[in-house]
Amino acid sequence: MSLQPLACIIPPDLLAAVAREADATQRQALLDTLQLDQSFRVVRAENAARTVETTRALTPRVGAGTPSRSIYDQKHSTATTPGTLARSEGQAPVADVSVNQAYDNFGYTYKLYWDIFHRDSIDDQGLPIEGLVHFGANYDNAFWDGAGHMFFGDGDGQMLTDTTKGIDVVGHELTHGVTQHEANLTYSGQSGALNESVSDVFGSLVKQYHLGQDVATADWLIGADIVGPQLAPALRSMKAPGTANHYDNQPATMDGYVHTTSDNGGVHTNSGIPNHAFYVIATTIGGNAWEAAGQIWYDTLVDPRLRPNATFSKFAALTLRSARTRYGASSNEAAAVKTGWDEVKVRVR
Amino acid sequence: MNLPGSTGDPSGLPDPAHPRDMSDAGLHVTYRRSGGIAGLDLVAECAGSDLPQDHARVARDLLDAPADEPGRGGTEREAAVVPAGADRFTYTVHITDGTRHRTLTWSEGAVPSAAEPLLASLGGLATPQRAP
Repeated sequence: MSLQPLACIIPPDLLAAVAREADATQRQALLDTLQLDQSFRVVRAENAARTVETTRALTPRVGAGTPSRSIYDQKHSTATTPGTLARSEGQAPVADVSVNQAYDNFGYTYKLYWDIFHRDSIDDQGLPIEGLVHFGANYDNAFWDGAGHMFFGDGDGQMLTDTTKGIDVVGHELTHGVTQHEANLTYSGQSGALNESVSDVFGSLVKQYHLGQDVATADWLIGADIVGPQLAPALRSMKAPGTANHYDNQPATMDGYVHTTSDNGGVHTNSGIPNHAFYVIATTIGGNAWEAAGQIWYDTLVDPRLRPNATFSKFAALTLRSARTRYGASSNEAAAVKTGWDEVKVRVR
Repeated sequence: MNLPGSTGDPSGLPDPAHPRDMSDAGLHVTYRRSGGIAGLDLVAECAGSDLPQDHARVARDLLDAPADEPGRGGTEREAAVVPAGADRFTYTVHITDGTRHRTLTWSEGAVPSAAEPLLASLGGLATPQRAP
């Protein structure tokens, strides 16, 4: 039996020490071996990292893969407890369009999370999805209450219209719940802007996945289906932050970062920066955004190293780590992640 | 709870049910509603005499109240408390009588009931502004 050189276990530092003392010919051979050894170590580490599975993914609950939706009619009150149950899981459509839109759009959101990320609802444990529609009178908003409920206003017809109509808006609100159950990004300053951006990213992915749009055919707009004439054509643009409507002043890069006390430190303003990074990364990779780019973002969101007070730089570093872990250190995906953060001038560290 | 800032009389005409308080000539109020999923700022500014009498009285009471009174709210810096949930509105009101100044900030859902009529009144006057 011949000895396979690559199967020999020679520590790299010993190889380097021998190379320092060797003559020129031997030194080159040893350095070649060192380089090859390093490549194998990287590949081995990458393979090991890629095979890591979470406990949750291995033990789905009974009934996983099917959402548990309940849509309540708030009848224009501002009560923050569920009103009249209008439609629950498996029931046929009702006469109220808003109820059906909320039901369907929650279904599409659950489907993206389940099909692509194998996540079972908001908490990955099948948490019931509760949507409260017709909240308030002419209420220009939709929100996540931090306690398992998503509220949807009908809009005033000028700024916003029925907020249940936006598949990305419904995906955005449910994703706030996902974020709360994972990184729990603090809703202020940069971590708050990341919280908002993550909701925009997955809200957009829900829409793209449902419509079968790739990165080239997606519009990368947020809220295009719920804006009234005052905010048309959309609330935000991930492709071109700051251009979505007359009042949109989202920055696309750190050069335009807005320091303000308004809106918890500009969480809906500075989210333009990580939003645009995601757009650049997804379009650089190409294909369907929910595949590589979406997977990298999801891996980052559930990474225990992502702390509630994360900065843009810390988040960026973790996305790069996620890309390297899943696709390889020298992969196109990892290179695209670096390109995306460079483009928005966020230092990856 | 009424929802401050979401509805109101855009005409600004006097409402017979809420007569204007002409004695509050020195009172001045500015209003900003920020946040919401749109991230849009709505702003308003008016003299106390332009407010319905009972709403101007609310502004005067907020200015007069001790800073540590429960439910009154805090200064903008003190009120930098992270709200529960996401995409909720934040209300900031600055009140002055020319010599004293108070800036009060509340997250939607934490607005004291006494302040709700004032915020509703100001919300009716507010117009969108590009976020600062």
